[in-house]
Formats: sequence, structure tokens, C-alpha cells
Amino acid sequence: MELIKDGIRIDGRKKDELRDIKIEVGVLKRADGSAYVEWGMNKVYAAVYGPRELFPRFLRRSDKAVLQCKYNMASFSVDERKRPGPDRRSVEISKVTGGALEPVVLTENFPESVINVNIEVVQAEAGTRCAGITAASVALADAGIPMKDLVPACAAGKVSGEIILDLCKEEDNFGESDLPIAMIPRTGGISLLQMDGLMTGEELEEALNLAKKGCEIIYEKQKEALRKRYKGDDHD
Amino acid sequence: MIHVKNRDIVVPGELIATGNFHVQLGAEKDGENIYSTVVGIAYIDQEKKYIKIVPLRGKYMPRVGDPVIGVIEELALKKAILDINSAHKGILDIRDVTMNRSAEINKVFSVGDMVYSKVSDISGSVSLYAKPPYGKLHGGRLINISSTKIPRVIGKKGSMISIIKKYTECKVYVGQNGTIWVKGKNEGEDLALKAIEIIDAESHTSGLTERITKFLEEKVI
Amino acid sequence: MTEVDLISHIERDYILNLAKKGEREDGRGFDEYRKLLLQPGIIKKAEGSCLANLGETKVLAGIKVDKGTPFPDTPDQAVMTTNAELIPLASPFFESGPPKEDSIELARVVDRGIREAPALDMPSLVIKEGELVRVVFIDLHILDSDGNLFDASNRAAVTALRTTKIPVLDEEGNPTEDLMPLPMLKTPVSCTFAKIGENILVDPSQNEEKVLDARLTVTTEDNGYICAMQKGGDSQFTVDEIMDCVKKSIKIGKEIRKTISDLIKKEGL
Repeated sequence: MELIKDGIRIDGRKKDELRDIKIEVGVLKRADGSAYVEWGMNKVYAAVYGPRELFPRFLRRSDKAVLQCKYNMASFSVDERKRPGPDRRSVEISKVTGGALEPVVLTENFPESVINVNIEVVQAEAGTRCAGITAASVALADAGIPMKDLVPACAAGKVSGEIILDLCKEEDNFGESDLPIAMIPRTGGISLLQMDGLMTGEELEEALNLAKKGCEIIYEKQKEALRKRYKGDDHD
Repeated sequence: MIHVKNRDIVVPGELIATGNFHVQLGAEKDGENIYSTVVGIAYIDQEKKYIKIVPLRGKYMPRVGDPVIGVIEELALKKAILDINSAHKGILDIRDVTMNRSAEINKVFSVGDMVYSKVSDISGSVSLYAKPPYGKLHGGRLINISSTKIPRVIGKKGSMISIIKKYTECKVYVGQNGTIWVKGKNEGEDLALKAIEIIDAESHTSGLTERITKFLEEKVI
Repeated sequence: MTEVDLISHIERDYILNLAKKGEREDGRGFDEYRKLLLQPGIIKKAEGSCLANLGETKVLAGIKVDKGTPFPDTPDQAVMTTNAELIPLASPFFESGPPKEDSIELARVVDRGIREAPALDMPSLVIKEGELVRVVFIDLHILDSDGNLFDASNRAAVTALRTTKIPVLDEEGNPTEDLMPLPMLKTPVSCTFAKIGENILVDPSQNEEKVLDARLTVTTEDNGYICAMQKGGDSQFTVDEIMDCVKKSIKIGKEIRKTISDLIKKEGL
């Protein structure tokens, strides 16, 4: 399969082009904060509850809130129906999602409590963990939970020997390498980093920088979505 | 050097200012830079050199002395546990309710009661005090809004809340945690709640006090 | 000590007093539903799907159709199974983990209405009798829990089923490129009632659910037959009250059936 020809990918994108992304804030009534992200064919909800009391008690920390992230996929979100409930992949993604958001959430403000972040993928098409983290940081902001920064996430990869941004499903399945990252824009630091496949050191560096550029674009979309929620009200 | 306009809506991570400013709320200093930590309205006083970002949403952060209104969720022998829309529940000890030392809390309160109380201590858990003028609320109506909007409901020196009380002829107790209780005639209660809903929706606009006054005037005629 | 979904006495009394006067918190009539918004075909990966908004309650139904062996006691019938996920996203009081009794009751009540109508043309979904049949998975994903999950789930599920497309199979039972609509016989519609004091209110809101004495869900099919019923809550219904609910369900069922059909026609699905 020719995944890339003359700099054009199978879905018509250029090497450094993102799929279409739409972010909406405050889409769920019961949640303290919520967001909905459409990213290519991915459809992801994120809901935040908290800070609130944590049970069982032995999980409480006296110095900060516990950030509990849970990533889940709906049975009908993938081609072959998935049995409901967490599988090993979901558990791992939940854990690294927590690692992506932990550096920015000011958990020290809320000792002995929990902040629940729930990510629900209702349609999946490569890149759900990045869509999930992107949605989760917006949902945290919507919940009024103080954060140092928002956290955009994006993947880069290697396909037919070329470094590209934001892999689609075929590129993820048939390409040579996939590198999802999450970035803290204020410092440029990387809080999520996973990689599979084969890459040289130079290719890795190129991919990292390309993914960071993608994150910067997504960061602007996150900010715009949050501002839009309250715009249209005059405040002067 | 200031990077946003006064009363702009800002988001977490947004650079508000650089230099020698005092951060009152909703932002943090990182070297010379001051960044917002919440989605909120930025208030910058160039003269007094302070920055305050008022969050548009968020749970109630208890402060000693705050009046709060909460629902009793659980009763132990000598204390009650209340939900006060905060990261932690409020604890009401029987000794902070009545002088009667041998009283049991489940004779005084039941699960589902609404209690108007004062925050007495926040080291460890949130302790509440409910002796008169505080205590159980009977009848009336309740409304829950974001705790961040409560200052608007009260108004400068209580101006807004006085207007509401005057036109609706209702008793109004405002919990800093976002729960408000009103009691009066049915029409008065409905009107007071409607006014509070408008304040909640338009809290970050100006001229609100005049608009609410006009709204109440028209309805009362 | 756990999170408790409480309603205060003050709010409870307000709802009870309103009901005595024939009124409701959100101004609806006793026989009035909240606004229903249906978005079929929203999940392209699923063979069928529908997001149903009933007031602020949001339920996403996904239909996946696979192949499998029939149950030994019904070799001439397809297999259908319904699952409901009360995910933590949807409420501060939903926990993750295996389904608890509320989630199981919800799935079984929705399933019963669909199975008994019968909604699906089960025999026509048999590929090779006794060996290979279509397996229809109905997955209800609750996104926002604001009262009356039963009816929101029913509308999401049946609209999703009505717009499900499955591959046409060749003689060997292998899928071709062509698609066909999932063969359906009936469109079952559920109506859920809350008994508050002496009053019966349709489509309970979140607060009304916390205050109700008893709950009744009646599912009817296209010809006005009742195909499933479920009583919930700790109190009782009189026979008159039940018959009143049944009558209303038949009427409302017709209206909702028309809403769904009109929508499907309008969207060309």
C-alpha cells in the first residue's frame, strides 16, 4: 500500500497537516466540567468531577488531591465490537493520561480529595489517547480546577520512511512508527511520551518537533473553545 | 508590562503580566511572569499593582466565617455530615448546635434537612457552627448557583441583596458556597429566584444592579 | 460512607406541593414530555447508532451486527443482546466497574420491549438454521443522567435499530458490498410514569425521580398492544392508575413512532 506519494498522504493531507478538529466545552449537564472533541473520525467525550471526597480513605493524600483518570471505549466505537469494561490497553492509557495531566493540575490546593477525569471514546479512528487528553484538559478548565496550563496532545510518526503528523488509521496500522505526545505549552515540556516501531535518533527528533508543532495548533483550538463558551456576553 | 485588558476572559496558562505585581487570586507567578490558572475574568489594578482572576466556575473554597447552606447527608451519634458543594463535607458537632449536652444529633436533625451555618474551622476537615442565628431551615425555596457568582448576588455593601429583599418581601439567606434560601409569599419566592437566576447568567456584565432593580420594579406592579 | 444522591426536604416538599396543585418544577403538564432530540447515524463505525437527548438526559445507542451461533433452544432465531453502561461520565454517583442492579434493570427493560414487540424480524436474520445467525448487539451508553433513562434509552435504541444497515450476504453466508436495512417488524416505544403522592407524572425529571413513590414503564408496539411492563420504586399502584398509564402509553407511543418515522424519512436513512 502506498501510504504517501509526492508528499500527499492517502487521505489527501500534506505531511505536516492535522485532521479536522472540533472542540466543544460544557456539553454535559451533570459533570462539573466537560468537553467533546471530534478529531478526524474520532469522537471523544471528557467529564471531570471534583475536587470531591475520596473513598476509600486509604487512597487519600495529605499533601494534594489524587488525580484519577479513566479512559474507556464504547463497545460500538470500533470495527469489531469490543466487550464493555476496561481492557489492558484502556488501563495503560488511563495511567499515562494521568501522567500527562498531573504536571499542570494544582492538586496541592485540594489535599485529601480526588479529581475524577473520565474520557469516553464513542468512535475511534487512531489517535484516541491524544484526543482524550486534549478533551480532558479542556474539561478540567471548564470545571474551574486551577491549572498551570492546558495540555494539548498530538502524534507524529514515520510512514514510508517519511516523518508525518497526526497518523490516521491506515498510517497507524501500516506505517513504521507512531509517537503520541502531550505538551505543556508554557514550558515546551513533554508530559506524555510513547513510541512504537523503529526510528533512528534523527527521525525521532524530527518527529518530536513536528508533534510539538501540532500541539501548538491544538493549544490554540483549546483556548478558543474555552473563550467561545463565555464570549458573546459583553463584559465591559 | 500587562498582556491582557482589564475584564478580559482568560484561560489557564495565559500570560497576564510581567513584572512586580501582587497576585490576589486565580494566577501564579513564574519568575517575572504571571500566568492565569483558571478560566475567568482578569481584573488588573495598574496603580495598586495587583492582579485578580475571578474564576467563572469551580467548587466552593471554604473560609472561616463564611455563612454556608448545606444538606445533611449523614448522621452519627454526636455529629452531622453536610454537603456544602466543596472538596470536603462540612462537619457539624452537636455541641455547635445546642447547649443541651446530652442531646443526640438525630433528634435535632434528619437526613435531608437544610442547615444554615457558619464555617468555624478549616484546618483538617471543615467544621461548622449552627447555633442561633444559624440553624435548620424550614419551608421556603432553594437555588444552587456557582459559588463564584455569590459576590454578585450580594452586591457592593449588600446593595444587590437589599434590592431583592425589598421588592420580593422575602427573607434571603445567602450561603457563600452557592446555595441560597428564600422565604416569603409564593410569588415573592418565585420572583427572588428568578432575579438570582438572571444574576447568575449575567454576573460578569455591568449595569446589572440597575437591570435587576428595573426587572423587580416591573414585576411587582 | 459513600456519595449519596440526596434531595433536601425543602426541595422535596416543593415538588410534592406543586404536584398537589397540578404543577411541575419545570412548568410541564403531567402528561408532557421534555424536548426530544434524536440524532441517528452519529457513529459511523457502528452498523446503527442514535444519540437521544430527552431534556438534558443523553443516551447514545450503538448497534453492532455480527455473526454467531444461535442459542440451542432457538436454532431458527437470531441472537440479540442489550447492555447498558452507566458510565462515571454521566453522573457524580455512577462508579466504574461491572454493571450494578440499576444498569442491569435498565438494559433488561429496554431489551424486553424490543424483544417482545417483536421489533426485529428474528427468523429472517438466520443465515443457516441451527448453525449461523446474525448477532445484534444493542449497547446503551449513558452520557448524561438527568432523569428517565428508560425512555431516553428506548428512543435511542429503536431509532438506532430502525436506521441500522447490515451487509447483504451471499449464498455461502459471506458479506457482499451491498447493504440492506436491518429487517424490523415493529417500533416499540416505552413510557415511564412517576407516582408522586396521588399524582401520576410522565417522563420524570432527575428531582422527580428522587421524590417518587413508585415508577411504571409501559412499552407498546405499533398495533397498540402492550409488550412489556416494569414497576419500580418502593410503593404501589392501583389498577386504575395502571390502566390510565397504559392508555396514555398507547397514545404517546403512536406520537413517538411517528416522530421517529418522520425523522428517518426526512434524513433519508
